[in-house]
Amino acid sequence: MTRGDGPHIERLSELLADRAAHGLAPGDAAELDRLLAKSPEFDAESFDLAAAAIDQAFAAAASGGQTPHAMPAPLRDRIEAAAIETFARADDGRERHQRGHARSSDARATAATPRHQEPRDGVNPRIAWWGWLAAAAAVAIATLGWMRDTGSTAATPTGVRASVLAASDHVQWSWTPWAAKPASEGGIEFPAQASTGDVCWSTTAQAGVMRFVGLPKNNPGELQYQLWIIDPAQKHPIDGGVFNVDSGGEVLVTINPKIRVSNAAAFAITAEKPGGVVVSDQTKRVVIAAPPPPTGKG
Amino acid sequence: MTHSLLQQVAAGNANAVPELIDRYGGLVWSLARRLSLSQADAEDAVQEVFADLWKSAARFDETVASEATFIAMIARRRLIDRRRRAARQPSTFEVRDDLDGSVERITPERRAELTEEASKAAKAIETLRPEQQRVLRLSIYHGLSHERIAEATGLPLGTVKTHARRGLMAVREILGAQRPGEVEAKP
Repeated sequence: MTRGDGPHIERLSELLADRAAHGLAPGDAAELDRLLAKSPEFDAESFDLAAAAIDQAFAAAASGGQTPHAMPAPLRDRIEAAAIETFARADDGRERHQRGHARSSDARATAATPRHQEPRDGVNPRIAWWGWLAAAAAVAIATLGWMRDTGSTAATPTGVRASVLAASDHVQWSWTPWAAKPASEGGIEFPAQASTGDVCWSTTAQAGVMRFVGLPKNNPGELQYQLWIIDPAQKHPIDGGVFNVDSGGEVLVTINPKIRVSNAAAFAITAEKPGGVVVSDQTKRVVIAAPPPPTGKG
Repeated sequence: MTHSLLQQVAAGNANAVPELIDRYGGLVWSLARRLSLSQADAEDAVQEVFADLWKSAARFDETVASEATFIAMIARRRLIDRRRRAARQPSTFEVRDDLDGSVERITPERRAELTEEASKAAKAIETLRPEQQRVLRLSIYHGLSHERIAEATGLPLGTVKTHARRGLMAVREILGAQRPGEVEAKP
């Protein structure tokens, strides 16, 4: 080991300690960048690791013997879905690179065919990302092919709706006003009583379209509508994404669930903050669509 | 050879992702709840932390730190950055800091569960005076600025800076990092 003699080392350590503890103001961050440029070999990350270790020690003390709370299940599902998407993009990027960025005219056949992948870094995964994604891609490609077979190649809401309605397993349910939660529980009446329309969905295609007539226009900077798909196979409603209504007439919105829907039992709309939420407190219930009650035989 | 979950993620093993989320989700969620301004902010932050984690997994080196410490480091960086961007620190009233936060209070069961780094950190913290421990706790665990700690404790600002920085540097050295000014000699 040799000891460096730069006069800036003490200041560098101070700034790294401050950054690891609570971050730096822009001026200090710029100073840190300059100092690190002078000492590129300096082990800067060790300060952050030390802070993380101290944090864990204090957290253990503050927990009173309790283990950390698990994160909410819907949040966990969203993170897992986002991970799939992230790795899908990376995988696609690698594949494009391997093909010399050539656009393939037979993408359908390629995506549906499992690709060979060498184990990386000595790891021989049971199921690698590509396998998982190939399965998802196969479903997507099959859906597109099925849409072509039914005469609609346009991925517009109108085209998707026509394709979904042509599917043998489709459901089509009407929207009805969703009774507000009691005011004592924070519920707010949402002015959607005059809204009509329906939702159609095909589980095989994992596709659907919502049709609204008379749903109040929203200011996206203040609130957005958010779809929830109730699936008994899931512990929590599936996040179907946010959307806006900018027209007083008929509005069609394609459904984009974050995870696969196994058995849609109902579709519900809430009004949420811009960008949506992971878990809705249902303060502003809007409309809901569910199977009509069975007509009993006496 | 057994690979860590982060190494498996870096290598593209899909099976490791849900397991990693299940094993460390609580750790990240606890950090986010403590260092975020609201529940919604914490939920957004946790998603960003895991997005960072997927990108950083290949940098994990098990000879340097445990997975938990590495993940806590990635999470803290993101959370501190978010708090800075929001230009808001928790008020002194929002920080519930009392003797329950002393590392001497760690139960034997929890102590046994600590990572090697956290265990070493706890032992190092125990050697500090109560006043120094409190400054370090307010600085690292609660993420308060030196100025806010000085307000909360009544200590001079210079003393707060010294306690906070020296405490962290002491743990850093115990964890085996090179001392400031030292670099590996090239053969």
